[in-house]
Amino acid sequence: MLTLEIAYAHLMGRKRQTIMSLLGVMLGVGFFIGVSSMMRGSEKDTIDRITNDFPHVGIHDSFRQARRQPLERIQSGQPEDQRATVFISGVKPPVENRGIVNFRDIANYLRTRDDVQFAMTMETPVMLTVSGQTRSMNLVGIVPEEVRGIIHAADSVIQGRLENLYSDSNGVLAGKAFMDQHKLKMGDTVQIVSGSGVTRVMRIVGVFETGRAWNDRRTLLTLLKNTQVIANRPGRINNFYIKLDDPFLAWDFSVQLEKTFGYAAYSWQENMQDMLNTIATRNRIMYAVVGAILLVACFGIYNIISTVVMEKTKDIAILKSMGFSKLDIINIFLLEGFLVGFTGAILGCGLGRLFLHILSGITIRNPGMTRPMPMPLDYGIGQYFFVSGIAIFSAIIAAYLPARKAGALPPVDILRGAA
Amino acid sequence: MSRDKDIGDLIIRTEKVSRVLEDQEFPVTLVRDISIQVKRGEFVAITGPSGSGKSSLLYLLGLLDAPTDGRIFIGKQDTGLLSDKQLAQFRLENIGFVFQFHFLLWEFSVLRNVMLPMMKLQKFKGEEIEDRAVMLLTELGLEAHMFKTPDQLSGGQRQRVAVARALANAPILMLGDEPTGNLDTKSTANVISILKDLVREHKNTIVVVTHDTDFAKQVDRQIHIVDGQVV
Repeated sequence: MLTLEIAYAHLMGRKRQTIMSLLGVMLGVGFFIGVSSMMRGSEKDTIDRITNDFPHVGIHDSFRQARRQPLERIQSGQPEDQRATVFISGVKPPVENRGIVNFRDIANYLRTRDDVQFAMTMETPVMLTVSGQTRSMNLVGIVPEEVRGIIHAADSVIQGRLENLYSDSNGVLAGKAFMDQHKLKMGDTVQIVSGSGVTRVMRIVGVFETGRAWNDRRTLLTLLKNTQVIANRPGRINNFYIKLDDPFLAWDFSVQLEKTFGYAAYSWQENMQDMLNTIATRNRIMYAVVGAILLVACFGIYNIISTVVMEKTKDIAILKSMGFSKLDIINIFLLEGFLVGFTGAILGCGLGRLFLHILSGITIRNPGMTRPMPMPLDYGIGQYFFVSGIAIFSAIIAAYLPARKAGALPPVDILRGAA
Repeated sequence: MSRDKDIGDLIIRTEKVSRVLEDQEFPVTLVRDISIQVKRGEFVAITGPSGSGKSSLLYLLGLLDAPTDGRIFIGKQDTGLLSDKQLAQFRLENIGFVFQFHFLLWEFSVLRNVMLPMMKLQKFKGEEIEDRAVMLLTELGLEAHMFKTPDQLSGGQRQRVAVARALANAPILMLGDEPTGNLDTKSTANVISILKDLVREHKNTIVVVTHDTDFAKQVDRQIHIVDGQVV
């Protein structure tokens, strides 16, 4: 308490400098909170979009590495591989991959998980002919009641309804960009040809708009059984779309699925790795910039405490002659640093909150967006504690050098000099 | 104001104490082979010309500086055996200082200045600290000035505050470094009479450094120092 009293008296004795140092810390902390909130807000916003628009885990009928040939397995010398010899007759080239063979096992497993929603699709590339032009499309076969909340296009129907697929056995839903490009309207027909040579004329019974160019231009939704027929794979599926209650478990879950069932399972984190790396880099830049602000604030603290030490050499000598130890003296000046850091941090948190209030009223039209949006902000309390901790810690560090100098001052030199 | 504690009758005993500044181009000897004794209840003046080493000796006795040779006993304690931290604690408990330039803490009231050493030591607790500070200041005739800051006082008043502060923890030894050096005649007489009272009536032990011969004549004993040696 005595230490606090002396430290407080020192700071109050130099009000103007103390206030400047407080402002330095306050601005540093306030800016950090403002910038951090914007950064984390947009990070969350981006990840929300990704995890809303894309499946958290997708299982495809492919393998990360080609499976080993029987001959390789025999030569490997592993006992369980010794019987791998196969007799091949009636050799013919495989026409298309066969879809996920054990999809019922996977589906049964996924149903046991309470935190998992999933949809199964059969997807196949098709050539589409419309008004004399030919283009490739991705035909996605779905079961309408299964895909809500899982497949973004199915959730973004703007004309017609997903259930229209049931009323027209050749019905498809197409993206708005595709419709606009070819001046198509509801009820128009297009002709598609699959890789297996099946030709069908499909009628457009609905339009979706996801806002993602690739989806809106290239995807056609139809009933699962239609794609199975068109791809000549009756009773098969070749894709799982999986959503988890906690999207951040997707990575581990995808690894587990791939290990258990063999098929390639991609998490959104893996698909969006570049994006996540960009976010991480952006965060590092933010911490560097705000760190620089706080560093400047620390110079202010260093400055005031050095000044106090120089001005108070007499006081230090008298305190020492009175019986204050070196450590007592150091503590006084460290405490001064702490007081400036702590008060500055508290004020800075208030300032930061004020920044957020102002920012929340600003709307910005980002490139690629059709209308101005409010800035995504993060209101998490964690960043206040984080930056306050950093500010207080740095303030104490900044105070340490002059404090140590004060502690080491030999009282006799000062007394002699003054006498 | 002194207290009973088994410290024996010798408050100060030095054995061949020397202090040499070695970290200079040529070593400077501040004091050389000084052996003195001060008994409990004695009022001693260390006198000598400027630069004779009298202040250096006082700082050694006050444990603000350490001798390069010899031993200093305060009470029965061999002070050479104490660590820095222990020395600070020992000073706090046993030694009170009064300097030429009062050295009060400018930001604090007179009362607070006197309370500081007690708040630090905590031998007196809570209310006792303030009561004792008020008592000391009243005895020194400063009851009207307790809540003023030092800059509102005259030089003589400030020096009396410094005396009150030096007495705060009831030290066994009080040291003064030219305590009247900066005062007018009237204040000087006042401070000297206060110090004499402390010795006569309260059995305090006081050692002062002074080059004021009038002052020196009024004490029990003079230790005259020339060129760092007792003569």
